[in-house]
Amino acid sequence: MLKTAFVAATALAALAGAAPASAKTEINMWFGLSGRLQNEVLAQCDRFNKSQDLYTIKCTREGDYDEIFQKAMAAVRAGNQPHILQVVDRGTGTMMLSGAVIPAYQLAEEQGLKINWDDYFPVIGNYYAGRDGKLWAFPFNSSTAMVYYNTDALKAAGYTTFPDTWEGFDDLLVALRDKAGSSCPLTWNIDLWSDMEQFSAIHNVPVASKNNGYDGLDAQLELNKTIFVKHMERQKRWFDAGLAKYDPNFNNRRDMFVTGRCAIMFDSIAGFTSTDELATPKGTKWTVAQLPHNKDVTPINSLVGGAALWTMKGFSKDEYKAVGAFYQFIAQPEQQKLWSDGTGYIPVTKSAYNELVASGYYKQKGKINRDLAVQSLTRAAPTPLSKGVRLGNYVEIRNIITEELQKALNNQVTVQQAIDTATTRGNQLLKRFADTYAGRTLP
Amino acid sequence: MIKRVVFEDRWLPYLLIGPQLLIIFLFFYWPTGQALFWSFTLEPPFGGDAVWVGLRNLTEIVTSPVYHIAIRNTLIMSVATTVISLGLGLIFAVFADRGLRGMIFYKTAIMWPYAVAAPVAAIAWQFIFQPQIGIFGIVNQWYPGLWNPALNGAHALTMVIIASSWTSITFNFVFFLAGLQAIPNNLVEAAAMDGAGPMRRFFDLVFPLISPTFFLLLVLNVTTSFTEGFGIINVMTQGGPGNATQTMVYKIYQDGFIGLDLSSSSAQSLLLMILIIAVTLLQFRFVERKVHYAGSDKGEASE
Repeated sequence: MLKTAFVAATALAALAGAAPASAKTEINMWFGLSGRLQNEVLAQCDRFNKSQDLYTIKCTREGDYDEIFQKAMAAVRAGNQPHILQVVDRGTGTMMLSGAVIPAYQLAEEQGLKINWDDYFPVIGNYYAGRDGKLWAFPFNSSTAMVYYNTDALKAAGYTTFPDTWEGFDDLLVALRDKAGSSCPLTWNIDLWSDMEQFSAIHNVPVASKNNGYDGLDAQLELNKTIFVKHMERQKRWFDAGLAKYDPNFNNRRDMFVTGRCAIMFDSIAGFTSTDELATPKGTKWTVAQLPHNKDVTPINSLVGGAALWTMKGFSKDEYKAVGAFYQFIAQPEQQKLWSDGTGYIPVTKSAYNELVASGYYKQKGKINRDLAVQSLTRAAPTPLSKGVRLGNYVEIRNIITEELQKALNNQVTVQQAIDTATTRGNQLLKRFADTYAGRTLP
Repeated sequence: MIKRVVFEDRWLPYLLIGPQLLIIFLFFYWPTGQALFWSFTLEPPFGGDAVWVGLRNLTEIVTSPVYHIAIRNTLIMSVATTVISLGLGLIFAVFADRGLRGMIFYKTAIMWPYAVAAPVAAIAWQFIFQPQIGIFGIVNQWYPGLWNPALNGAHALTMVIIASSWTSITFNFVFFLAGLQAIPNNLVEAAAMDGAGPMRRFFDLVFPLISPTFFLLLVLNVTTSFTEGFGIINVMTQGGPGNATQTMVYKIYQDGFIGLDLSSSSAQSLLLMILIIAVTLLQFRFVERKVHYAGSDKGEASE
């Protein structure tokens, strides 16, 4: 009985495996976005499948950013990697050295893809490019950090516009408490993406030597010597004064904001649509502003965040043709507009952005101020310090800095001591990473 | 004289244990061997040429202050959860070991938590301990800032210990209750007639009789306490705030799976394995001597 079942199952499996070979070329993509964003990715894959009848793409969510990275590692070792892998910004260095990917520029050459590389916003392209400026991955979902604020609360505090500087932000928090009577001016967490990376880029100061790691694996952290320390001390003052309510859980923070209990929060522009959907039914009036900067400083561009699509090695020519077709499809201005509208991410190409501006998109109800993210990213030409951060073991290094800063919030150490310890610990990890890839260099 | 059954065919026994050995090899010895090799190399995340570095991974871990914190947290958690869950498990079992009305209901209710998966338990406890809206958060209304597990390390560790003890109390309860019910009633009654009070009966009679069960549970609890807190910590604190709830096993996960430092992670699991083996051997060497097994031969524990 069992034997018959087994034979039958094997035969079925063989049949199922053989069937699609005669049909379209099928490729796989693994991505890490969830909730509303997940549906938007699936919708995009669906549009690609319907737009032509040569290829099929199967898009699957394989966990969050960290989880798909882990799964991809195991998959590459086992030889069953997907064709396309979505990798978060901070994994760029590891991917470049992995030996498991086909660089984007190389794929484009081999497949004869018509891609206007200059159409990508420089700050986005640079994040995923080698030193020669050639792109290794296709920019996919791109965002930057913003301030989300409750417009009614600001009015009550006597403000009509959002302050440009952190000094002004200090005063605003006090005014929200004293004039507007807010018990929670800011719902807050240590978020190094905006506190460290964005802040350092905007102020043109380094996170690490060797141009934030772009110029060599022997880079060392420098964050304990920059104004980042002062910036964290400022935030600790808010926390100590009760102006900032600490909550490490993002959903809780957003909940406090959309219900109007807290007046300000920090989040990526990618959360725009989700926040809108949550806040509108509750009658909370809100909008976004660019991150403030220190006074007497000319701010430059903020840093891009998000993820890019990497092409994995080990497939046939036909399959790469399909991969190329998918990349070309999603780069079309029409697709970029749909993607940006559905998610909150910014369009990654200048042409798509310009079309949106020309069509009056950012003047529509519910879309106002969304273009501030693009303005923040393109405020100046990126410098070697505002292109991005490319460090090995970077996920762990960020965890270390957060851990040490939590000790400072709990008054076990000072902010300076915390960042000094984090720098020492982080440098050890950088050394380990460089030694793991001994004799190799970043492209 | 011990009875022996001997196989007549020389190869049959090997054939019979073969599948089991294969499974153990595939899921234990092979990965352990791999981890052992990685412990002495620097292994790139996506594979490729690993660099042999000798003892570097181990020395870096052993000398790292953060690892010392992880060892300390592991020992605190291990001792605290073992004491709480064995202690409460035993007390509940003693109370339950009587002819009370509605006994079945109590027993089932007490056994329930064991069926709750650790992450689910962690979420439930998170609601209870949440400083603003949780039930336990009421202490903050009496005295603001009294309870703050999001930033206070001691609070966070306490919270994790309570949640992870809660899940294992019931496991111990079931074993203790079975042990208690195996004690013949006439022994206890005889002691009572000789004038021994409840406390005296428990310490001089009942506890020695269930000591084999106690020892078994002690070994199981200590061993699992090194690894079991993982699900709870991962949901409730992620090792924070500031390493306060980072145990050895959570650090292995964090460094290996999130940090992608496979070599350091492997070296740490090697150390953890050595520690668990050492602790278990110590228990057998010192605690087992005091255990009173029923029957003359040591191997025939009645439970």
